[in-house]
Amino acid sequence: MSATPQSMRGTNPWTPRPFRIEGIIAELTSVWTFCLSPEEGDSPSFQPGQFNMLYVPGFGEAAISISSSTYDIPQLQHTFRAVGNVTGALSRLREGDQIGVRGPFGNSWPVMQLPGKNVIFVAGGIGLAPLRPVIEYTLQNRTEYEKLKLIYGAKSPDVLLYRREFSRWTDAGLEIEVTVDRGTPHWQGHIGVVTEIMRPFPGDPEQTQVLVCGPEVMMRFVAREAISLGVPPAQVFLSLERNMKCAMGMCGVCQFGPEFICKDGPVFPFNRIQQYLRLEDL
Amino acid sequence: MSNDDLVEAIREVDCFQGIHEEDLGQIAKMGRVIEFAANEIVFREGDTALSSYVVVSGTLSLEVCAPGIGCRRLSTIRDGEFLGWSPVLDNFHMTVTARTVTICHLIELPKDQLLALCERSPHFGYVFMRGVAQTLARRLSAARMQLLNLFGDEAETNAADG
Repeated sequence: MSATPQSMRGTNPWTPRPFRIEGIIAELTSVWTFCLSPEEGDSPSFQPGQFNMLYVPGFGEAAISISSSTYDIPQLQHTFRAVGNVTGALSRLREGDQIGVRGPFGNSWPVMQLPGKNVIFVAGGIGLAPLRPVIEYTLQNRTEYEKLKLIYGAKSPDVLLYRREFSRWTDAGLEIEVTVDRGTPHWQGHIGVVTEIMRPFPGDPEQTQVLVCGPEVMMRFVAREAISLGVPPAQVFLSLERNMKCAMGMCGVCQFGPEFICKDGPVFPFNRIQQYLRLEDL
Repeated sequence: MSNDDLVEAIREVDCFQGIHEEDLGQIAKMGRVIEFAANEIVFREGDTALSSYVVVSGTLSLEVCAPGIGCRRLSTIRDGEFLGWSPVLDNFHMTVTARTVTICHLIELPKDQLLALCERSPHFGYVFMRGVAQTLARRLSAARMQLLNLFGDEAETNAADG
């Protein structure tokens, strides 16, 4: 998929375009999904894994992954957690309010490499949001893939993102295994970390692509486990999140070794970035 | 459960990968299948370490109980996994409490007989102890990840700058 920043066709990529908040889904404590429609014209097309810059006047911009399906273009969805100034301001908005949107930016999950393969999605916490478009994409084209499995880790059973989607995803052909750090008395599922439920590995590791998004430390452990199970490093893809300011590879804030996460990423094959993941000050 | 089923169940477990068929037969011979209902205690923290187990089916949780915090479930063990490293590493007592989450079928392997087989068959002893070490290494790695409290603050996972 293209690594070139793509903006909405015919618009200035530096200028936010006004979008209306059509709906707000309260997902978890401090986590919301905004359903957005452009005030004028059509929503931009995007690739699974790309992100938009959401702009709140007076507060600034935040890079938020697109979490809706590429088959559901009219309404763009973004799931975010209120963790800072901009996302805090976003969380105070209401249906009908207007925000600015620039994008979509960045590259995508390697959707062209997935047909004919087993695909394992490994998500941690709110890291499931950037994976949702590619999960939906593969389920829409289910016959093109071998096994599809989601391994999802969260802090506790009450903070599982998109839980309402799980039965639909399972019916559509996605195997789902969930693990939590802290079980409740009624939790019948797994307790532990995502790497523990990667064994036994489903299918031939050499014919498997692993797509990972979550806390960076988790992604490092997952990549290491996948490789130890026989998956080639070039078939393990991580979606990185760093401070992104311009989203165009101009400001350098998100530079990661020789890469700019906003422009060359956010999705990288593990072999391309593994040496930089070990550095503390990057 | 027939002897063949017992052998097949034991063969699935990581710790026993690569052992000779003859040794596999010996382990099956010493094994006893026990069924536990859901929410039953298999062993408690502090119990004398007498037996290890192979989980044939079902899920168990490992928990630590303490005054003030109650019983905290730390991890789960599933079918095909080895349960109870303390007995074979000569720990005198079990270090956690194992409680069944679902109905479980376990193969109980008496410590004395397992260690005697290690003495008689050095190949088995090496492969088995290496397997136990690998299992422990994976659990240590998982425990380190849990210690990092990855989801305590999810700022890194999305909207990092916002």
